[in-house]
This record gives sequence, structure tokens and C-alpha cells, in this order.
Amino acid sequence: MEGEVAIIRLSGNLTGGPESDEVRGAIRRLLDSGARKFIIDLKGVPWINSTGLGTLMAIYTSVQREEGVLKLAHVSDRIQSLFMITKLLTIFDTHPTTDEALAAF
Amino acid sequence: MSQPGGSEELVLASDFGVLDRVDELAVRYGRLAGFDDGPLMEIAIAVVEAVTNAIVHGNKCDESKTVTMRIEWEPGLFGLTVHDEGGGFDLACVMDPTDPDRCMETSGRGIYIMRQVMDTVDYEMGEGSGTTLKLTKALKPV
Repeated sequence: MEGEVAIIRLSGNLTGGPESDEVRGAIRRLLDSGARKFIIDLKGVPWINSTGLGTLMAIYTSVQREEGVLKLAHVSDRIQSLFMITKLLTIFDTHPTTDEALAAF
Repeated sequence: MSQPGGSEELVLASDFGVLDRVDELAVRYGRLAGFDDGPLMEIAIAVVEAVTNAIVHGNKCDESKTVTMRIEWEPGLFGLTVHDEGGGFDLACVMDPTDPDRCMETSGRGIYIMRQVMDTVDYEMGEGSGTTLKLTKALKPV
């Protein structure tokens, strides 16, 4: 946590496998504990597939439902490209670094 | 001397753990075919989606079933064939994930993504014989 902002740092590709369940579970636990501001740091995530994108969508929806805010940091060119292809670029609030994402709250 | 072309075929487990290798092969052979930057990225994106769909929707993540993947390349042309052991599906029932009523769905984007970035996306389904997907992409003249 950085103050009241929960920063979740992922590593490895997000493809819908066990790692997706882990990150969704982590977000759920943080929401249940009262956290409402989140940054997912994708510095360690070179790419995602559409199933991994679905995981991010599910997290976004869960956070929004609890009136929280989600930001993404260190989004790779390939992930950005996937957002553009699927027309989801305007859904996710992305920042080059976690510091910039923190400053944007 | 540049290579005239080639191919590689793999039989993969229905496990997300294969996707890193799938991506590596897509990048390797896409690069050999002459693609780089954005178009190479698009090939990798499409190939990963194709295998993901075969695992998830074709084989229903059943580890007893396999996905056969064949990459064929020649200068300026990349081709992928993916075969799963599933029961097929109705292409007409594939929804548009960019429809405002569906844009927040957490699944259903794989075919759309492949169609956006590849030149051809063709399915063959036969009763009891699984589903075969063929993708191609050609280098565009500068």
C-alpha cells in the first residue's frame, strides 16, 4: 500500500491461467478490507491475451461496483495495442509509471 | 542467404502454460517471414488468441485433449493452422465485442481480435473431427 492506494505488481504474462485467479482474489480481499484505490503495475507483464484482458475487465468492474478507482501503470506496447484493437483504450486509465498513477489520484 | 520458407508443427497440451512458447514461435517465424514492429506484434497477438481459443473453447481446457499448431512461412507471408478436438461452434453466434451492450464483457474477443489483425481467418468444422482454424497475413508493400 502507498497510503490508501493499493499497488499490485504483476509478473509474467496474464493469460487466464492460475495467475488470473490470484490477482482477482487479491483485489477481492483488498476490496473486502476497504481499499478503494488501486494501481495494477504491469511492468513485469510483457503481454496478455484476451482471457487476461477479461481478467482486467472483471477487476475493473469489481472495483467500479464498489465505487473504487483502478489505474494501470507500465502498460507495454503490445498490451496497449490489444486495448486499441478491442476498442478498450478509453476504459482503462493508464499511466507510464506507478508514481504518475499515484499522482493522478 | 535468406531462407525460402519453412514450417513447424507442434502438438500442445490444453494448458495456458504452452502460450509462452507459442508466442516465441510466432515471433520467430513472423520475423523470418520479414515482419517486424506492429505487424509482427499483430501476428503474435493473433497466434496466441488462436491457441487460447482452441484450449478454452475447443478443448474446454480438458488436459486429455491436444491442440495441433502448424506455422508455415515464406518471405512476405505467414500462415498458421490450429486444430482442436472440440465439437465446433456456430460462427453466426459470435457476437461483436465492440457493441456498446457487450463492451464490458469479460470474454468473447478472440475471433474479433484475429479478424482485426490478420488478412484471412477461416474455420473448418466437421462432425466429430474437431475444428481447424487457418490464419494468414501478408507483408504489405511499403
